[in-house]
Amino acid sequence: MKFTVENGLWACGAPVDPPPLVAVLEVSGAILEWTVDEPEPAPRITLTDVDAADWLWRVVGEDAHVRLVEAVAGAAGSVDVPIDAGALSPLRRLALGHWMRRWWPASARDGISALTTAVLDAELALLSVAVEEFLDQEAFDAELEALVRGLADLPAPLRADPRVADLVTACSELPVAVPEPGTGARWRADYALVAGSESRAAPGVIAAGTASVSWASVPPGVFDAGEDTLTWSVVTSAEPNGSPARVIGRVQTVLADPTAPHPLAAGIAVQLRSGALAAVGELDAEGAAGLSLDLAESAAWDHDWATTEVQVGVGSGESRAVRERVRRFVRSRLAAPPEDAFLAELLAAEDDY
Amino acid sequence: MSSDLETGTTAATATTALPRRAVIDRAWRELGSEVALLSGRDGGPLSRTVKRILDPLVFRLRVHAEYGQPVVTAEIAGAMRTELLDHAAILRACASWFAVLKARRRTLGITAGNAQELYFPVCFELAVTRGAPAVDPVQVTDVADEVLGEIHEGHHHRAVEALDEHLADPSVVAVLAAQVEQSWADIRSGPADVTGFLERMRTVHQDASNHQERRTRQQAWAALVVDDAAYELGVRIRRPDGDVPWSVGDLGLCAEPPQQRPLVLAESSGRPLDRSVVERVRATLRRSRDRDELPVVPVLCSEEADRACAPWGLLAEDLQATLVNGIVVAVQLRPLEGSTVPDSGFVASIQARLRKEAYVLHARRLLAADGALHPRQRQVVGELAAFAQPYVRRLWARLHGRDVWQESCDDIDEVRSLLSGVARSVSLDHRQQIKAMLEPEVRA
Repeated sequence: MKFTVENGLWACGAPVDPPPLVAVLEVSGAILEWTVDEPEPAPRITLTDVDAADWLWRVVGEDAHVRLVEAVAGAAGSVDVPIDAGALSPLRRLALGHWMRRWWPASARDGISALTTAVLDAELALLSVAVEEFLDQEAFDAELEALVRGLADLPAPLRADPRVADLVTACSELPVAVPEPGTGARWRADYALVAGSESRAAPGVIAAGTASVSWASVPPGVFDAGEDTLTWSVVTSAEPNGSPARVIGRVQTVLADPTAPHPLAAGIAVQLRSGALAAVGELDAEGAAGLSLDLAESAAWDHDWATTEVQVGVGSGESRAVRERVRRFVRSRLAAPPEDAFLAELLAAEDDY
Repeated sequence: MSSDLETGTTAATATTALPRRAVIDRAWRELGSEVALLSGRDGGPLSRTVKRILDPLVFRLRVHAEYGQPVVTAEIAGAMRTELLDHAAILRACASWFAVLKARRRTLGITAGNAQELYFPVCFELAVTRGAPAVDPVQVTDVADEVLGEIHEGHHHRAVEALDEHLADPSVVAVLAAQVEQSWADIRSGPADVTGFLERMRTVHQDASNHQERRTRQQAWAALVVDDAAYELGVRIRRPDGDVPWSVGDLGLCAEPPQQRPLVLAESSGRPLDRSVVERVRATLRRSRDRDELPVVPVLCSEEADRACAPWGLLAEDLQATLVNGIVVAVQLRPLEGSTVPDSGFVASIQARLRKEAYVLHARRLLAADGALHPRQRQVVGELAAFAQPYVRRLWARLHGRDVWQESCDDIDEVRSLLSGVARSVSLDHRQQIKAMLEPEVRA
């Protein structure tokens, strides 16, 4: 494959799809990227510091490693190198694990169980140690302590699973301390499948509809990742003392764990647009918001609400088709777990009664 | 020896150059299984073994820079192998000491930090001074416990106590105050071509593709180091009307420009040039955990009084020039902006890396495409966007350390790698914070 300078950095490999379809790993002196649902084994490699990338010879051979270092120093035009994608396959698995940690489309509505993050993190810790010769020990992706922290919160039934027990034992050999069970924070990201509450049209509803929460616009683990989980309605509020009724846009999202408020839901921006009308607000910890619309009740009844759009979070995020593609990928892994599936995935698959 | 090299590297013989880590890996395997605790799954040394033991203690890169090049000649490779195998007995003993410390760590219930990171250098030191762990388990345990105590509390603690004792004497503080007053008054403005200096700074940011260009670049740096302009700029930032292209307030060096004469004891805004003499000494003690020898506290204080009054708070002229160099770099860096066009290849490559690192955050769902993903992240994302402040503060701290330990910055390649390393470490710091802000249990 040919290394050339792109956007100021030496890179090689086919372009990858944008997030959320890309699994990214930061190794020493380089960033590796794979499109998650494509079979192509070779990553896109971007060198951020060729001198620090002291593992290159393991992948491209010693001769090509030397040529690359010389080319970068001499600012040459391009270098052809052979890539041993096999040497990178554990790194791809690690990248995929990190991807799952952030983009796994857990949804009660879609029947995709959440991954037990403590289990996945512990697997990532072990995998990181196994490929330590590629990782920068001070970098983003080499933080073992953070990865094993969750083991303190493993629920007892999970601990009893022999596969999980083996994982915990293996982690005790890591160079960082593994916390004792029951010492961690009380909050947990995993939850049982619970159906989301359906909101029913109440009296005084002028218009109502649904919308989807785009994943890239919000932090992971806060919302149910299904489509059309957001319900909105335009209602009139009864004001005391005979004041004219106010027109309010009500927004309700479905949280990842619908049984409890989520601290990160609070403060997330909500935007409602309908024709020339626009209102902004913030969700509360229950994932709900009331937006005040600057409109008289009679005008609200006359307004055409058909084109109403509600957006949650930052920016417009990815398309519905992209989310569908991610779900297809994840479902295919759950239905027929590949040989190198993570234990966290197997547990999720078993959870799908 | 040469046959070893050739059998392993048929492809490399054509160029007679070899990737450094491949050379180390091969030589390491000759040490056998007794160093397994310092080795990875494939039998090569762990990255931490290379960083914490081999580079500083066996290859001694500070003295032997040629062993630290990413690609080395066959001749150097041979010398590295010899060096490594000469240390075979010590490395085996080092591995045994690590086994001892690791076991004691567990028994004593120590959970702080990463055992490899913390204990590797001290295991090597034990191997040098004591050889392999003795047969007598009680004696070995005593040594291990003493070492662990030292690492996890000792050293730094004692130095801080010594400082407190020293300062308890009011006459000490009075002498330091008088010294500061005198030193501050001694620093005076002089003639200097500041504009030309900053123009010429760009030449050391150019790419150099051959030996000649690299030599020219080094000469340009040598000339900048002895130029009076960096000193003069450091004097001008003390005057309200000082003609300086940037504001030391915007750069995060002072809470409020101009720079004021430093105090001896008081607690300051925490900005580098506002810090009191004692705050600086404390920072030195904190950062010197890894050092064997620490200057005596009274000497440290007296030196620091002079340093605090020197232009930019640094005594060495090459370090003053390096700070100005770093400022020129810093004001061009915008990790969250794709449209920024830095004025040289060097700064552009740092900017490109920062952009790529911001992209990693986006791909990991930790940032939106170019901003905070959650309101809690706004402050830290704001800092990342205004990169110059944290960058200059971090660089200053590194240079301050170099000034204390009298490590020079006269080699432009080293300066460039320092300047890009600071960008990396600031970016890493920000990324950890951005990540932490999305941990549900963290309160904003």
